[in-house]
Amino acid sequence: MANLKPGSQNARKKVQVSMVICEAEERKHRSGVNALQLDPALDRLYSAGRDSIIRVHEHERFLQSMEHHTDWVNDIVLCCGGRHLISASSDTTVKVWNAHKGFCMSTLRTHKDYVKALAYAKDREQVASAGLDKSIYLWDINTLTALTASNNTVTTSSLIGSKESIYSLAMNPSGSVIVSGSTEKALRLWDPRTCAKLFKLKGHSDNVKALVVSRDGTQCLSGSSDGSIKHWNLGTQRIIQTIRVHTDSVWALLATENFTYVISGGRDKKVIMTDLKNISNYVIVCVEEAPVLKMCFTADQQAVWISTSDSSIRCWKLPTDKHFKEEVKMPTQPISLIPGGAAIRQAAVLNDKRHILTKDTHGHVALYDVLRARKIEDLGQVNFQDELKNRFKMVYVSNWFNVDLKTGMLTIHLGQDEVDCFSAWVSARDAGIRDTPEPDHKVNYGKLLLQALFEHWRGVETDPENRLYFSVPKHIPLILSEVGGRTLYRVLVGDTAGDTENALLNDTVPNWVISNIEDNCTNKFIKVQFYLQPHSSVPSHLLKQDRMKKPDRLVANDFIQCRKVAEHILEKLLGDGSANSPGCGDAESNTPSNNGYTVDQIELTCNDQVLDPSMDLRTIKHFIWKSSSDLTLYYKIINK
Amino acid sequence: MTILENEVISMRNKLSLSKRKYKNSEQIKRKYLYEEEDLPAKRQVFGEMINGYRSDQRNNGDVLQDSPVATLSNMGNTCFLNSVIYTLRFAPTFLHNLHHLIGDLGLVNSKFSQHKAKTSSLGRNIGALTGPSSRSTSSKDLLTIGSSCDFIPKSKVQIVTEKLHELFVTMHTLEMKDSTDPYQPVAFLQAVREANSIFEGNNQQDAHELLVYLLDNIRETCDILAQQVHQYPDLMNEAESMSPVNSSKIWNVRRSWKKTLKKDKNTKEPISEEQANGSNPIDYEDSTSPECNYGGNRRRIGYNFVAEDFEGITLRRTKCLECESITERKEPFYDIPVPIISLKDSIDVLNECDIFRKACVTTEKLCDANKYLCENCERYNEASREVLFEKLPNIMVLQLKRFTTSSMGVQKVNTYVPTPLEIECFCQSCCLEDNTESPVLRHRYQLCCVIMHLGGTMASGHYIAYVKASDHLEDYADCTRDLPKGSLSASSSEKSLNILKFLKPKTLGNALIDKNGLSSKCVMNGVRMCKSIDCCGVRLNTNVIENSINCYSRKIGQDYYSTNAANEDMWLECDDESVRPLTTQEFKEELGFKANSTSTPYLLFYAKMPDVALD
Repeated sequence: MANLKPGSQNARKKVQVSMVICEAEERKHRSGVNALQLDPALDRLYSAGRDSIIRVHEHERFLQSMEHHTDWVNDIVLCCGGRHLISASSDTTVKVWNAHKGFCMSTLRTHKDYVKALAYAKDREQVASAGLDKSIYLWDINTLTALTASNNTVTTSSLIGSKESIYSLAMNPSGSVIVSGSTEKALRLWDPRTCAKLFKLKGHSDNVKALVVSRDGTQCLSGSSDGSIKHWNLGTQRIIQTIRVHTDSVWALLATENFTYVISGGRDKKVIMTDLKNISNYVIVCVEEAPVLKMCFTADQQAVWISTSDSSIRCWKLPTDKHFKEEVKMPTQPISLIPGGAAIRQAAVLNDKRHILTKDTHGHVALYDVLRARKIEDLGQVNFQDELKNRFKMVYVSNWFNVDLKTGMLTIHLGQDEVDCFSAWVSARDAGIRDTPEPDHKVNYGKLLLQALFEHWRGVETDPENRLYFSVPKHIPLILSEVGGRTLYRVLVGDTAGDTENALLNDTVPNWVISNIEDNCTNKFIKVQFYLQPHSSVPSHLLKQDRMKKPDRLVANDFIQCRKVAEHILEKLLGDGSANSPGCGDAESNTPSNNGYTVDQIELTCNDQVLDPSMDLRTIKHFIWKSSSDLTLYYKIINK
Repeated sequence: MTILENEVISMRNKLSLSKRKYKNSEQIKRKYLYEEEDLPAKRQVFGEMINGYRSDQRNNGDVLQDSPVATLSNMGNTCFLNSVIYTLRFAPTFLHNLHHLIGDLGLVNSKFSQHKAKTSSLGRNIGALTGPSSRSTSSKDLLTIGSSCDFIPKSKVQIVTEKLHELFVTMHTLEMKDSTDPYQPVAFLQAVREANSIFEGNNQQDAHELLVYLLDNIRETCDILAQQVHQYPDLMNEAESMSPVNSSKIWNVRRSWKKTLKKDKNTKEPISEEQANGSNPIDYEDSTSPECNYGGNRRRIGYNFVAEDFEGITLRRTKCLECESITERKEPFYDIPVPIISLKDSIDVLNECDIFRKACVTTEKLCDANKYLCENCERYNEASREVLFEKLPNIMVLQLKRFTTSSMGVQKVNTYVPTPLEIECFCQSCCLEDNTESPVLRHRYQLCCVIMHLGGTMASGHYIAYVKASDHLEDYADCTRDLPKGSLSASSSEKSLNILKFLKPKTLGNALIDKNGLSSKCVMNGVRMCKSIDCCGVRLNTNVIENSINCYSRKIGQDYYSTNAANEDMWLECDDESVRPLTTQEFKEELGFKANSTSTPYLLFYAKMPDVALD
């Protein structure tokens, strides 16, 4: 029986090809930092970026970056005494890393939506992950780290019962209790040892975004978008106290070892330390420049590292008794700073559909070349709109890619949604290809880019028709993913030649890519329909067809230039004076034809605007005709 | 009939959208129509059909009892039309405002004629004049018929508006003559079809669609008039000194009681200076949403009463659950589509007056495959979206979404939904007040008209209108457009309002009669009534209504008005040529739950109630 339901589970989703235009080494966070972890033994700080990269710092010094995620990294947990790192990302995966060497050991694809939070039970080496798919999965780290390419099955227990998207998760070191916070506005508790649902705690009036459980599992602190922090007694299932020190949502919480103080941060950019024995006794640790996303203690617990939706990470001294007694003022400067980079916040694709003008959070404007996957010009802090205006060219090329800025870097998607990746044809001359035998030879941008991206996978092309005109840097990440869905494979362009990578690509590269980059798909030229009408000044005796008669509808490739159209007029529409004169069809362009006129003497107009001979039909249609109806061009003979 | 799946909130644009959708079928239909008209034989058949129908009515005429108001006959599948006409006729303020719109149209036209006599370069002026209006689809084809003497060529929408008024004039005349003959609104139907070709053909149509098109036609007429006046300010020098229609005093009473409360807590009379100085724009802006500028210009010529009385504003507030930034989008609307939700367990009887708030003011979570593209995060995130009403119109039309399109075609949902006679306002500010400790100052809305759909499917169904029996005297009191300038005094204005609070026919018994002893329509206790009441106003045959009350009293075996609150309203069941008075009790029974019933309220008209001074 036919399954009529659209989007059935079995239907394979379309696969898109994406690339991230980045530098060979991205040493600074480009965007906000969602999570922090400290390895006290080596005094290394791990930071999880919205730019999809986890970075490792030793004090303020950049050590290395860990790149394998393809979307925001939302949470990280350092385990096994600092040897391994677990990360959760909006690419819906959980990854296991060798923390010291910085490589990804395995990827867990059990979640079906963004993975938002992790929780760690140190004594049991157990990690829990939860996210917007409402599920919580428990993982045994020793099993995860033992996974290999051949032994890649892992069993997980899931904690059932959550009715809404989970935004926060916490577990005590002994793993006797796990708490989740969700848009249900309630806390839910389970016993991770038995996976039994324990109870639900109601009290907040909005999403719960931060949680801490005490070591013994008897107390819990929750931070909510309702602006409050609630201190719970898990034994009695009651609220001990509600702390209202923030003026906006609470997004991050830390508790001191014995649950005597809580440190909180949130949307109001403030970090506040509150005495849990007397909640009216609190000190503002610092005021950040952006909403606070995460905090972690330094090794000596005398200061906190703070990450925000800005890319810089700062370390601030925590208040002491003296500060609480208001004997000493808090310092106004951080004690350490890991400076962040700028995120691209604005991107405008130029009319040539090849260059992108961007503006970043520092106000810098830059120009990128999509075909070469690199920045080609840094314009500094100039006016974005002015630059955009200056670069306006009256050229029309179809859209062939999508741009995405979620990581703060330019990500180019091919084959996404309705955008036809092979719709952009330009002449080799316009594409800047010099060593082509025929400058009018048409090249396809989508095909050129795909060829460059898969250059090393497919091997050297021998067919001159398909020779490579452009190449992209080897460090460019190439991502294959389901449209609007999960990542299937991420690999650097330069690594595609490797045996393992080659095999994986053979499995994942979609057919639409393979068939198109191998075929010479000239039959896919886009057509324009148009009419040619003689201007009233053209003498009737020159016309082969009565001017009163409706002219034939013509069809041509959309990149045909006015010069070609003029040739057509000269050959087919103008006679030598008598309307029935035969044999004028074989006239050569630029040489006087039977009627004695040259191509230069044919002037084309559209909507009363004179057209340049080098202008193509699609540009005329888009910028001068400005309508989706069939184009009408007028021609007249001028004396030169 | 075609049903468009409405979105949660219908917009003004919806009108033009649906027009576009119909375009193709329209063209086909039009073609057929021309063919029909070309064939005299066919036309004859058509005519016979109507005649046949009419003779049927006459046969039934003996059975028909006296009617409390003029009635409309069914011309073959035209109950959708009749139900909407009955409804608009009894919708508060509508008749009065329509009358003045027609008056203004005539005035502007005559001014142009005078202007024509004076100036020589007229040809160009006409072009400019018709220019802007020609952009709208319905007014594109200017009619020449019947308007040869008019200087301004009439648009089709204007003809609809005029024919509607003419129809109301005719109904008024019939009522004055105590005629019981049902009237055929042929000319009006023809005008509607000319302007909106989806109503061509003799098929049953969606009453909701007709209502939406009609309101849009009248709104457009107002706009055209306003444009004309705007383009030729010189022309309307005298006209500009015209006083505004003081409809505000009926709707906009809330502000006044607040002030009153400050001054004198014990007074029950909603008197205040603001009302007397009603045209002061600052006071009005102070009291109503900033969008509606009640400034004097609005209520002069070209005053768009449709926009003012029927248009509300929705507010969609979306909060990204990641960065928690909020974006708001506002959209105007003419009616609110209400999803039919099963109320069995969710709503108890006590909460009935809150039912539509629960259905309309909603919070939705954008998640899974339907995530929200947050501009701040530059990515798809989960979000919560609230649908609120920044402004609810004076006359709120609720369209119950009884017709759903599925793979099986259009299906009717017969689920019972209570129709409370009074509901609480669910606009944003009223909902907010709910949360605060301060006394609840919510607006309330009172049911004034209902269009019922009977039958299992849209095509085979029948429409009946229920309207609150009222001649809406309060609409006509102290109409400043009908009076010499400056004659309006605060006291008379207020008095009239109080006097006219009761809408009962005077014969209903002494209990109903105001202590001031109201007796005449035209001038009451020094309150001047707008002359338009004698042009197209409703004149209820009170004897008929009284009889029906007596009948009902006999039926229940006790005096209805001694057992029920004396100020209860009477209702009229308008089923084409049969109009029958109902007591509120009987009306409630009609609306009440009946197992397996396919007679379902479809369009509900709620009128904003003036605030009552609370102690």
